[in-house]
Amino acid sequence: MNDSQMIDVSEDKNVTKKTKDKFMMVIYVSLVILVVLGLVVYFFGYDVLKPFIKV
Amino acid sequence: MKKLIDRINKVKVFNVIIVLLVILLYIFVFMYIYSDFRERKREELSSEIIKQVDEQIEENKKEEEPVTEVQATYNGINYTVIGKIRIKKINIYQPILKENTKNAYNTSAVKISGPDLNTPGNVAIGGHNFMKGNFFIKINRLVENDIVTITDLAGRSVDYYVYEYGVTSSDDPSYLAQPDNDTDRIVTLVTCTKGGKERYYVKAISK
Repeated sequence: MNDSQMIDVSEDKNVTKKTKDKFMMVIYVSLVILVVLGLVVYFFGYDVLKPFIKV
Repeated sequence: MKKLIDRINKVKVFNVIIVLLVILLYIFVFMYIYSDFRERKREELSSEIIKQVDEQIEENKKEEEPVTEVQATYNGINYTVIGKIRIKKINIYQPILKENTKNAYNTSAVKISGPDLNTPGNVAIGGHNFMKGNFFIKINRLVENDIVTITDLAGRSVDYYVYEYGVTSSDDPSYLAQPDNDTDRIVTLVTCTKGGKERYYVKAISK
């Protein structure tokens, strides 16, 4: 293995790590949105959604 | 390089699983909220009907010939109400509807069979077992000597004491059978279990 190959692998790893970080950030944000949205809908959404709920 | 590709594939599969889990979590949370809202609306609907029942009971006290049924309309659907049921132990307070329809079951407790309320014989009253495991499935917490109170539109409230309970097949209607004598007043509460394959019943008798 020469030096240029070593540099290439290092870049791939960096790219993969960055993509992974971005992906996990999206997951965390969607979980936070789920919690916030869930709480808002649960506590304040009943009166708004009542006409659309079928018993 | 091959190892790198394998690793990327593994990461992709892992990512797909995480995305699916998040989607499932969203679906679960909103199904839970919808189920809760549905139960709240059903409770509101029942409360409205109970108000009308109470008004009718008050009017019946003044009348010489009391009305035995009252028409209640809610959300454009007509219901015939014949009384109300209260089980304090499991926090059930519902009107009893005469209609044996899907809408009626979705709204409240329904008279399945038997004579008039609070008269000799076996009156069967059914109710749904909703998604959250609430409403009538709570009758499985009743044990011997727990009290079920039935009030008819004449305002007569009779306490019935639980003496038998169990599970039976949906094809077995023996719990609906009338007593051998003409004096026993029995109430049989029924609900579905296991997706409708079985029936949970509770029998109570007035003393």
